[in-house]
Amino acid sequence: MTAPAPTVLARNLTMTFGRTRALDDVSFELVPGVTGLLGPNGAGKTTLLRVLATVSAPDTGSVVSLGLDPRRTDMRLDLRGRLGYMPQEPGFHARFTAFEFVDYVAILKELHQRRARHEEVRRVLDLVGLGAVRRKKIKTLSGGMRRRVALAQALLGDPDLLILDEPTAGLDPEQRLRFRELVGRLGEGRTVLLSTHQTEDVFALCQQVMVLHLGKLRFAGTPLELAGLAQGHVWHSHERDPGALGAWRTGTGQHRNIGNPPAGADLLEPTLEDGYLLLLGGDRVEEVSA
Amino acid sequence: MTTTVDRPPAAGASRTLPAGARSRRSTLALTAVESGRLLRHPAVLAATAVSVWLLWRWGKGTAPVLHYADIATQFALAALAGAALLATNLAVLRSHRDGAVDLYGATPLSLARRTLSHLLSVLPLVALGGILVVADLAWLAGMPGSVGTPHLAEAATGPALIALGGCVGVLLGRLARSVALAPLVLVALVLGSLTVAELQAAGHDQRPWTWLGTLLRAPPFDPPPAALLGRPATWHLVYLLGIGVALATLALWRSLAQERARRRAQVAAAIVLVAALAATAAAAVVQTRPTSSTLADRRLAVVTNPAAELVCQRRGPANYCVFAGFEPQIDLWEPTVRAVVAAVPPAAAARALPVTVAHRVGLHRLIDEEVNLGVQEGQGPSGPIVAPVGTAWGRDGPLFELAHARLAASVAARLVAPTRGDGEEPRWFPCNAQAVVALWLGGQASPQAAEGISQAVTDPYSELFVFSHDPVLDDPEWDVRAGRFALALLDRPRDQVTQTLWRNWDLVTAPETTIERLGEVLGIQPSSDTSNLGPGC
Repeated sequence: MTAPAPTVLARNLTMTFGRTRALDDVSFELVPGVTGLLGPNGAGKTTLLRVLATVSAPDTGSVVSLGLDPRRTDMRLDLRGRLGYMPQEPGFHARFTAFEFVDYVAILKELHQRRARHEEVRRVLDLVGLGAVRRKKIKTLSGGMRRRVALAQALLGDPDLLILDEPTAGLDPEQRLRFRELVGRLGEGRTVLLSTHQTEDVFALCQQVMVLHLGKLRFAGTPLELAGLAQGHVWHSHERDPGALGAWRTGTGQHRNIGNPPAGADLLEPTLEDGYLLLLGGDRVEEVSA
Repeated sequence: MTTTVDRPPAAGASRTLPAGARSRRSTLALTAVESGRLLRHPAVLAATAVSVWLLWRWGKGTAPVLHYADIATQFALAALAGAALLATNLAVLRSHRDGAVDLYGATPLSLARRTLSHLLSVLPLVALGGILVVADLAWLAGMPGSVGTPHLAEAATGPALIALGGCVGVLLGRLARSVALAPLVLVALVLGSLTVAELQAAGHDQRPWTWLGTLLRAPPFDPPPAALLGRPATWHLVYLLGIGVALATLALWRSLAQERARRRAQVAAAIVLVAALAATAAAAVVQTRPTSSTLADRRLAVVTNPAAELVCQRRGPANYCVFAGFEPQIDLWEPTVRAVVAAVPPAAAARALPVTVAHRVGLHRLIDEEVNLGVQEGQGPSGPIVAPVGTAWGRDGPLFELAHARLAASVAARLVAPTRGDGEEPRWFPCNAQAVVALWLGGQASPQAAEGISQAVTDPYSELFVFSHDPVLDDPEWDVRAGRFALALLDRPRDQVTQTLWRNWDLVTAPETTIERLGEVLGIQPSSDTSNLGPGC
């Protein structure tokens, strides 16, 4: 079986804001399926997603998505018609109803035929389970419902490339489960890039995962490969191991340590989170596991 | 959430169109949405109510002169223009206010096309303004005594102001992300317009540069014939539209620059901008040209030799001389004239009739100051002595009440003293008992005339007063003391006063009969203030 052709090719992306290098020579490829983008706050995830969504252009480097180079105006507009973008803060118009808001974005996505557009708006709202509240003003919706409205607009027009920035923030466990089901189905035949802090979402959904830290791409591979990074580096003990990069007390009362284990340590099977934490280093381990 | 992911037919169908056509249609779709939101915006709804109320208030009970009423629509629609400025600005800034810039930025409809949609979204509001103007003028045209024909450019100026307001709002939204800017600009525009209007109060033809403003005050209260107005309405409309197109193009140009659009589009925008600015400049130059000598001469002729400009027709006790096209106003005056005549003893009336009632409009603000001075030093208007009446007429309002009083008192004056004013002195200053009788005759003719006399007497500018807002040279100047006595008489039973006056008609209308003597006859003590009996006594 041959590997699927990449749908997104990013080469040497660099972007600087003042003295901060948000993206530092980042190169990667995305293939159809769901790819998770992990990284702590300030890692450059949102900056990278904005570049991929053509909202901003990199200082240097290039991106070709779906065979289109966004540096060319015509290709950029064409690409925007084929991608769905759910920003971290979508910027809802509170006085709009859910239907009006998604309909407005549908027009911006150049779905100009009124009847067909309205059908499409109803379809995506049903898809995210908001069909019954589509006439409600957005200001009356809960935080979780608003996230689903944001997701609904990203699904308009059946995009070939779906870019989701922190889509599960604010969702309760049941909503997250349904979201996983939905994104899992969307990932069949499409390219979905999912930025998140939730390693369990990545493990549950993603065929590929990338880790961004301080603007640099620190890892690109499968979730199992990321978990495999911690193979032999996770052990438990009755007390916090002072030599560990990071450690926390688990529900069993024992401590789960990550780092270089002492001789004879009781090694554990690593998770994706262990691999992620080990990759980021001890300082990050303390922060993320807190 | 369900997990069924269907392929939508809409998306595929949309992408089959060429990109240009898709963008154009989407622009129109966005325009439709933004138009709907604009028309439902609270500021627009409030402004519409204000505009409708003003049009109704100004038109109610008037005998409209349509080539003046069209100018008034511009002032009524100014509220909508202000609302358009604010509402379009808020719409343009919606993505910034709500933090949706990233979301919008990832969609294929370009910033320039979104800007174009906002500009086009004002058009239904412009159409609403046009509908209000047409409805108002149609309503006014159906009123009794309606005269004149609206000027298309004057009628279109109000809607053009709305379009201009929308363009300003969109441009401000594309230049600055602050929602505070548009209200500040609106306040500045209102203050600027008011300042220009004040400057125009002394005569807009003497300050042609004031046409560079947007909202222009109408000339004097009594509308002259359309040919004498001389307003460069068409060029002013071109001027306003030129500014509007220039502002709209600037907004588009700014959007194109922000989104790194093709140079070709930016060049096209620049060409349109230059063309719009050229049209604006040309219109500005033309509309600020001084009044032509032909028009100035015609205006002067209306003051110095008005008879030549009027057409006359005899109806009952009066000979009515009006500007051509103003004949329907005669029907409105007749009841007042007949009521005055009916209160005069028939024999005395027969000696004085027919009275000539003639249009007299004050064109002082339209005539150059130096020429105007020359007229005042001369002998006044040639032709027979007349009872002057203005072209503005209506049932309600202080100014219309003064117009009623002017006509009624002037006719009464001609009946009481038919020979006065025929000498070298063009202006007549009725005083003594004659003035009291004339004012009483006028006041009893109609409630509006009585109210007009009361207004003029209660708060006089000096010891003499006139009823005209823009007095002409043969408008009588009345003695305030006589007016006060007439008001006291009007409070008495009409039949009782009539009988007494008729029995003593020769005495009470004799020029030398004093107010005190008249008081004795009528059994009323006049005011003791005899410090000024008026220049005519």
